[in-house]
Amino acid sequence: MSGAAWVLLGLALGTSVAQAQAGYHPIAPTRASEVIVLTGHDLNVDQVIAIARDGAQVRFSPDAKQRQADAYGLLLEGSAEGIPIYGFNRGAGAAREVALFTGDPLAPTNKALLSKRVEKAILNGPRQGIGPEVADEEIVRSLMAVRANTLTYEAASPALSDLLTEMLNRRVTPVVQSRGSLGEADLAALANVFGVMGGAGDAYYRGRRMSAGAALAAAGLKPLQPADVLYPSALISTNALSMGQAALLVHDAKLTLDWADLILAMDLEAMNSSVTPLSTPVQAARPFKYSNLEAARVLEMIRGSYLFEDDPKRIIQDSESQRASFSRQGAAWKAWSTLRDSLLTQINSSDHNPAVKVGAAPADSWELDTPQIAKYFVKGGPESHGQHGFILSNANWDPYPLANEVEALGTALANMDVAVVQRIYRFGSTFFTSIAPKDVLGQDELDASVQSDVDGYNPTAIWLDIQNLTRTLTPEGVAFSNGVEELQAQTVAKVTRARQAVEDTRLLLGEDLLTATFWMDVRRAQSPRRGFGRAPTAAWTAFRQTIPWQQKPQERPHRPVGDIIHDFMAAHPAAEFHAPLAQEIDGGK
Amino acid sequence: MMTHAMRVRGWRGAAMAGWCSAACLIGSMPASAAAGYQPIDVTKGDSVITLTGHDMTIEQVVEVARHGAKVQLSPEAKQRQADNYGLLLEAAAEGVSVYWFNRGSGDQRETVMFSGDPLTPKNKAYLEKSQLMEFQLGAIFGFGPEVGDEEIVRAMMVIRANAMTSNAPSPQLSQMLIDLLNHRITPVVQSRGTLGEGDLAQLSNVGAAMVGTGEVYYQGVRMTAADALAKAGLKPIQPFAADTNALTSSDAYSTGIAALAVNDARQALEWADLIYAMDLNGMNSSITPISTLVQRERPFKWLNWEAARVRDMLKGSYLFSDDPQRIIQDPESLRASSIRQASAWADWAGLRDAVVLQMNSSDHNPAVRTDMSPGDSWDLSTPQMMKYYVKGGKNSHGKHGYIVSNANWDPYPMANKLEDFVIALANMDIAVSLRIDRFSNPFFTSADPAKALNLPAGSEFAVYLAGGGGYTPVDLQQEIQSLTNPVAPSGAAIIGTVEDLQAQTRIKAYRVREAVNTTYDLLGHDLLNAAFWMDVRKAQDASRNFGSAPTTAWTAFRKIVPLLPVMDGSPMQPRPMTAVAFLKATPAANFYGGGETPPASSEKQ
Repeated sequence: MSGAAWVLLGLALGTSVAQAQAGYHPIAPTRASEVIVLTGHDLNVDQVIAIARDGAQVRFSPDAKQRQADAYGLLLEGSAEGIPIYGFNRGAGAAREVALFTGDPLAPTNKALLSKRVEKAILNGPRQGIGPEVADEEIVRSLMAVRANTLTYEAASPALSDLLTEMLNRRVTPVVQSRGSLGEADLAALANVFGVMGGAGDAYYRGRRMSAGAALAAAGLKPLQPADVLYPSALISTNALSMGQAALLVHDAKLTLDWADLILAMDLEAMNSSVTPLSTPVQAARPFKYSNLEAARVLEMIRGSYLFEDDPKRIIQDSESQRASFSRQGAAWKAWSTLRDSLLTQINSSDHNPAVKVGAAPADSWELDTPQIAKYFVKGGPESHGQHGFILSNANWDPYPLANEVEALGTALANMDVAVVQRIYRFGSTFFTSIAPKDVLGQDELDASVQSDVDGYNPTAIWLDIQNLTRTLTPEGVAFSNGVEELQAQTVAKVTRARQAVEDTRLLLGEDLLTATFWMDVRRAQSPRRGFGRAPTAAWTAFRQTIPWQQKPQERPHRPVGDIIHDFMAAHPAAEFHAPLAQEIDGGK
Repeated sequence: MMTHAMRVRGWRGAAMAGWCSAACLIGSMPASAAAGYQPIDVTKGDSVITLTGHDMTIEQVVEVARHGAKVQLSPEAKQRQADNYGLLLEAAAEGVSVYWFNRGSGDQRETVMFSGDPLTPKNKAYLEKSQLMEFQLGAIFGFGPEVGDEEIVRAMMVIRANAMTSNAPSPQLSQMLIDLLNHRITPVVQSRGTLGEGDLAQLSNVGAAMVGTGEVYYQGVRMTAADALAKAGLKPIQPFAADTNALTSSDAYSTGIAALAVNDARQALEWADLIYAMDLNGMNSSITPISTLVQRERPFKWLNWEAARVRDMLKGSYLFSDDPQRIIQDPESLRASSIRQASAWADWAGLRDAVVLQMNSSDHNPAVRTDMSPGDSWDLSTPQMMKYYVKGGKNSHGKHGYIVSNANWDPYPMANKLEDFVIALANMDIAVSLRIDRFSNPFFTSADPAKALNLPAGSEFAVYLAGGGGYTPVDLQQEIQSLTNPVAPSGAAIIGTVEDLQAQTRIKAYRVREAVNTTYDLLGHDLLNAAFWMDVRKAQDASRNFGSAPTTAWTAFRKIVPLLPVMDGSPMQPRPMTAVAFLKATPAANFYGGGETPPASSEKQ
């Protein structure tokens, strides 16, 4: 069947009428002119963001392209030599010992059989998974970007890997279902992508929904020919849906933690705090690396502030939440940094079963030279252009330790946020602030200022959501497929929850920012000669462009102030206002 | 599920003890029964560990806490403490405000308790009286049940003794803590009433014993503190200066539980690795997932280390020979066990590093730093910080330094690391419990054990009991699952809302202890099962080898637990419980001491 016929079949299946696009969030391709080279071993989080969120282009390095072509050759050769290969000439899951075909995959009968299998996989592509559909184009693109990079280790035919990158570059973004993965091998989501590559299902072309065939055609691309991609599993057996989102998580969590540090500095200014907990002798007494880095960072932000002047009214120590915030935030950075490191390994290595290793030889390690492993040695021949290697079953689909580290970030965030919510409310008591706003502001000024919610529900409401999101998922082992598939990792669910916790943390910090800026104005009114540190001053000044210090109630926008602050924080990364992270934290970039 | 509370102490005993502690303040009561108390077994009473304040190891904590080793302070640590004490006295004399000394604590932070030199007759009398009273009242702090394990109280004491060398206790306080440990006077301590940041109640219970109030166990026998001190030839101390603060402002109780758990978790994980190697032998597994090539595909250092370790244990096994009956790949649990176990090791290492640092640094408020000068850092010369600068004088023998309020009581990242480890352990244990059950299905084993072992017809039940499967491992695994949800981070605003943040480290640390214990229970089943199937594989083909470590562990285990249940009149107890007792009494390191050095954890990189 020709490619065009496949498109027609896709149309006939009833996907021709594009469904409504309401609620879909297409990306804004602001970096479409950039090209990121995928080598398989040095993709970083910023690059995933550039591709997924900002529309950057990709291409393979020559080495990476060669590596996957060689692996594809070894796979074909392995089968020709009679090696049992899981999920290729042997079945998958419970059918692991069932021989699906024998001998050379390119022999006419085998090739016809395999092509038929691929045709079926394409048709079944859009039928996999459970809705709702993934509504953020950036998530699907992050999946594709991560998969393209790790695909360079797999037995992907050139046609398969080329089309994946071209779809990224021309913005053909398949409709992908959000559920149906167990968090170790996101088969359904990748099957959705594969379907679109073969012309089945729906896709968004530059943000507009249409049939897969129409999207490919509009982009000037041809659907995959089954005969050119005899091993779809190369694409499909991966955790790329989880890992793509994990990259978004790591990126967004960093922006949020950056703001947390800056807002903590502003809170100290606002409280007329005693800075001793951050000081050198105290930090030297407890040499935890991330606590020390965090304390040094915040101390530097408030350098030059009135907090270092003598003030007989200043209380010897603040509330616990205010004092310990740096410790909780340092611990959150630590969890973040561990997750970041794991993610970088995960998106630059293979999570595929089986592992296809071209060039490996029995002499490389003692166990490879044993009869058991030698069963999986491919000597090399015409399909592999003479190259040898191994094809080995494994458990590389189990995305640990990352799955644990995503939950650890959630725990650390919650243990930080509990301090944030408490420190907001302490501004409601003169037992801590020493003065009430009315002591230094006239009623007119008070009426014209947007005050913080120190006596209100919002900080607690957001905090309760965060509590809920950071409960861990019960480790599960539902046995199915005759008991072969019996262990789950729930990585998609873990990452999704962590992303929501990061988003809610940003909302909570918005409430904190409102409190801090209000009280910075109060402190200034109390004594106009007071100076704040450089970073808090810059952030406070910028914030006042969005939420003016004095604005009549009737002139204020008719929307929740939290929303306005959220937009402000999204538009202005904290890095605009202060020095970048310590190298030690940022090291793994 | 056996809760922490049940394990720690029976409730009736707790109520009795609480009543007695209060009564002991005003008179003396007969010591209550010590039933259920777990005294330590003193096997290292001749060892002496030197505490420097900066290099105590987990193993040393275990030696002191569990095996009765003695302690002494290094000369430097002793001097540091003495200098800090001098600085504290001098600070007050110079009019520097010191939290919880010449200022009150908690919401009394701005209240002046006394002014001027603490050594003037008036101030001295006030401090002696108020400190003695606070120490005595320490006996009624906290809430039951009492801590039922002597090792936990001793772990708390040794960790406090080590970290206190960075604080400013009086010489008599410092010495008495050492004396209590070395004479094995172990105070009765209430298990609850801490918020996991500042274990004030538990350390106050210890303080009471130092002044002869309340009850203790003297060499495992319960009696009044006064009696125990007399028997040991010790005199109650007269606490002074800021001694209540010096002793009690610390997380030593939670950290002590954590340190013991780190030790036990290491031993459990070592067994998990060895039993996994035995399981692979038992299943006639395909070992491709742990081969070098596959490991290179995913270069996570702990994953690679674990696979190399198990591979090494299996060297020489029949699993590396060809076998046409061997299946191309095992069920997921067996294949992924190395990944889950490696991930548990990774979090274990993170926890270990946090605990080791926690017990070798100051978790005390305020921080006392003799010899620090304004020129040491830009912040120190600012007017705000200079308020807390002690210039030096008579009381400090001319030494200067700083005494500053802080948040060092907040035991992070350790508090998070405790929870991270339980999550990792539970994500490992799910694989352990599943792999046990997969042996019940010939779809994986390709074997009929009764036939292979040539058992008579009707042996099914004996075979069932011989292995480790059935209900119990699932019950245990689900118990572990129930421990994984993090304690809800909480900020109850109390003490005039100054204290508005909790760390719940006590609860978190006990959960680790519980999860490690239950993991041991689960591994007992796994071992029973693995050993049984090794017998089956050997019966199938007598020429099969299993690798050195699995073979020696299997042989040693068979000396304790026979292949099939026997009815020879010997005491009956569930076979998995015998297996667990074997695991705890026999470290896996007895059978496998080799392998590569484990990776440094992320904290150290």
